Amino acid sequence: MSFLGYLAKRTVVLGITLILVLLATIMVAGGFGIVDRVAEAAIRQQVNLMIRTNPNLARLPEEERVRIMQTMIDEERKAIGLDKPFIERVPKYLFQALSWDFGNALYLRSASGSSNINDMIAEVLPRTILLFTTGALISAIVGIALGLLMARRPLGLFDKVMTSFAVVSNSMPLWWVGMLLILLLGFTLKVLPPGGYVSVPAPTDPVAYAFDVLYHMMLPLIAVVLTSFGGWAYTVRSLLLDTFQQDFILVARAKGLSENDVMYKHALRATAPPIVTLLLLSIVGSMGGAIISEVVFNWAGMGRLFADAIGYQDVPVIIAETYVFSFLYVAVFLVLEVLYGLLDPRVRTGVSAQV
Amino acid sequence: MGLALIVIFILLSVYVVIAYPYQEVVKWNDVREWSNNPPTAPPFWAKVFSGRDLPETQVLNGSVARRYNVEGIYFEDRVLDLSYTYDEAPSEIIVNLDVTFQGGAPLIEVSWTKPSGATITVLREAAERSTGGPPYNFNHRLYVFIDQEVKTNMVDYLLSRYGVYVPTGSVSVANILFGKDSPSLANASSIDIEKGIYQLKIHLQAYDVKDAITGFSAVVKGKVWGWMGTDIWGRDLLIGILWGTPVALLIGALTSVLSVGIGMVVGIVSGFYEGRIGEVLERITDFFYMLPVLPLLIFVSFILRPSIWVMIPLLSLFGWPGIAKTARSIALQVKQETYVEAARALGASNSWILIHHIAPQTLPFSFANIALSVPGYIFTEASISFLGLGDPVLPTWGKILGDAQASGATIGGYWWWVLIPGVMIFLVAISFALLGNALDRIVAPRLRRRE
Repeated sequence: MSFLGYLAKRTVVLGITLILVLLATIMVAGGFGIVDRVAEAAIRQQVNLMIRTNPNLARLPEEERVRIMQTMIDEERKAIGLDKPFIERVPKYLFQALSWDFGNALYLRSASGSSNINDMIAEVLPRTILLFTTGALISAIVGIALGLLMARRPLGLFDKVMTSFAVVSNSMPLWWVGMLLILLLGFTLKVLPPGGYVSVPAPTDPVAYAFDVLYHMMLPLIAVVLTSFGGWAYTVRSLLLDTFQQDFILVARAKGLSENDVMYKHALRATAPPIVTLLLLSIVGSMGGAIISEVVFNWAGMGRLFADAIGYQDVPVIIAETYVFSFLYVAVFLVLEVLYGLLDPRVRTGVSAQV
Repeated sequence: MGLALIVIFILLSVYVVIAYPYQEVVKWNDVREWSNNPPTAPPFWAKVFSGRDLPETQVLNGSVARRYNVEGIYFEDRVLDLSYTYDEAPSEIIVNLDVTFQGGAPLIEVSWTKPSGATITVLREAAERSTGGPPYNFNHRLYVFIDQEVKTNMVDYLLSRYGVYVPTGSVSVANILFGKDSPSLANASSIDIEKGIYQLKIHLQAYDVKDAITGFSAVVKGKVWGWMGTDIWGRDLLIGILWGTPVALLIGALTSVLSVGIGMVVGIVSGFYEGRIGEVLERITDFFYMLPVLPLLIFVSFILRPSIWVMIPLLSLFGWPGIAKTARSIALQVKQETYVEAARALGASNSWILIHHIAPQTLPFSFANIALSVPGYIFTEASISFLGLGDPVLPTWGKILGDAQASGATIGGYWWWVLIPGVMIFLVAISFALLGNALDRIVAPRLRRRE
């Protein structure tokens, strides 16, 4: 099978996964009557507004107005198909979500005042990606460097200290470390802002703005890196030690290559695919985990929006966010497949990857 | 080490469930139960860091009535003694007054005498008639430090004693009642506390012989509380945090047993039967593997509002695919071993091989995995509770941390409220991680080969 054919097949599988997730989300939300309640409320609001802004209708007596309102609501309901049972409307909702038409939020607004969910997500998504991708990259780089050092002398002092650190840092939730850091650096020592994305009011000069964001990003970044570079280092070390036991390393050593050459040209190259996998998984994983961290750091990204939507019971936003998160996950898995194909010839040529 | 910690946690859980029965937990959720506790008070051992002797809460009652009458007017006096030697004023004094009377409203006067002998009138009021009666009952719960009448009386006191006028808005009742006598008492940010015996007096002036003070007590709220402090509603965090232990252990342990169980079965079967069954199971595993677990769990919790008995299967539902993938690769490996081939040659059936050869090989791996996946589930549950979507009754560490965040504990400096629940999460997580690592080393002795 050609690489492109393989890729096409994987894309189809991932597309189906995405549709299934979306379907499940819609079914769960709809099965408990939440979608209907939301649509109902939206119609009521709209009709109410129409009647109040229409001077002819506003002058009518109370009962008359209520009667007209009810007929308008019924018509609206029919127009968007609310009179049909939920199960018949599922394909429509599915299609809407697949074409990224999430409609309007009930209560939440974007910073620019728009209630369109697409606008809101377009506003917050880059912030989440900025923070957590940077964090994952820094942790990975620091972790890989330390992992290489650990693998030099396994069970040596440095290795042992780092291993303990990895176990300790892995046993703390990122957001709790964040809360502690806010207490320590933001509240007690007051060296970093305890939360937020930019200062209020935000600087107008783009360079100053960028630096301001960076300044606000420091605390969350420290928390992300602190909780994840230990795990990285330990994983890289284990991968390297595994690789060291393989025959080609023995050969490389037998050839008389220096330990540096063995390490960087042979061992590290062989561990590249799992490291890339881990990097992407950690980015996407940290985005999912970002929900609580962004609340803690008051970082106005995807996670904060999700938490706000839960606080305000803004169901359309919750559904849209769930879908966007699923989409991000599946997209990352697709990227992963492509990279795997490029890095590991066995995948590309269709030879089974099991060893 | 990990095992020892886990045993300690299990013993603690048993103790907690016995010492603080379920009703206590229900009471813990009812913030009205806690109004006599100082809000956001750090634990008592915080005194060590501050270098000051911070006040603890004292309850004053058991006053003795002294009654007398003068020309048809009946008087009753009661005194509560407070021995105060702390370095800071308390956070609040709540005085509970109960008076019963027949007709004419009696006058009530509450005053405060300092160790130096200075006497300050705190409150002067007439009892108000309750509905029904006679006899009428008058109950007053006086919050001394924030009561407007009290503040007005403090202004009068400052004016008459020092000739200093301070507007009621900026008067500090605590400073005046507890500070060493000086004109700057009124609104100084830090004061020297006058140490010694204080007296809280009530003086009743009534018009019927049956009129009397039926209750007179006070709570002097301190600035520290118990082993773990209090939250913004004055709840004793000790109870909530201790109760979090059995909840966390239960969720962590049951969820990981359940999800490792599912993962093992699915993984082994899909690895062993490589045909259609294997293919289908692998697809299902892949599907679940690619789900954004936390967002979906939060979404489902938002809709279901699960109790922990729903939460556990829910967490397991999303937790098993990783285990299944590993179990599958182990099954694939074991299947090609010569002893399996030998068994097959001897005529062993598929199910015999599965149960007698493959399952035992993967079993030790699953024990390690059960321990290793516990922290993840505890974190996930904590995240969901943090957002207020967890079990509605049971206190969990995540919920306590969520309350802390919502009440601004991080920017308000309520460190104990953030630190202690998190340390509990950390300790439980690390004990399972250590246990898991130890098991893993026994199961997969990778490094032993190198030594």
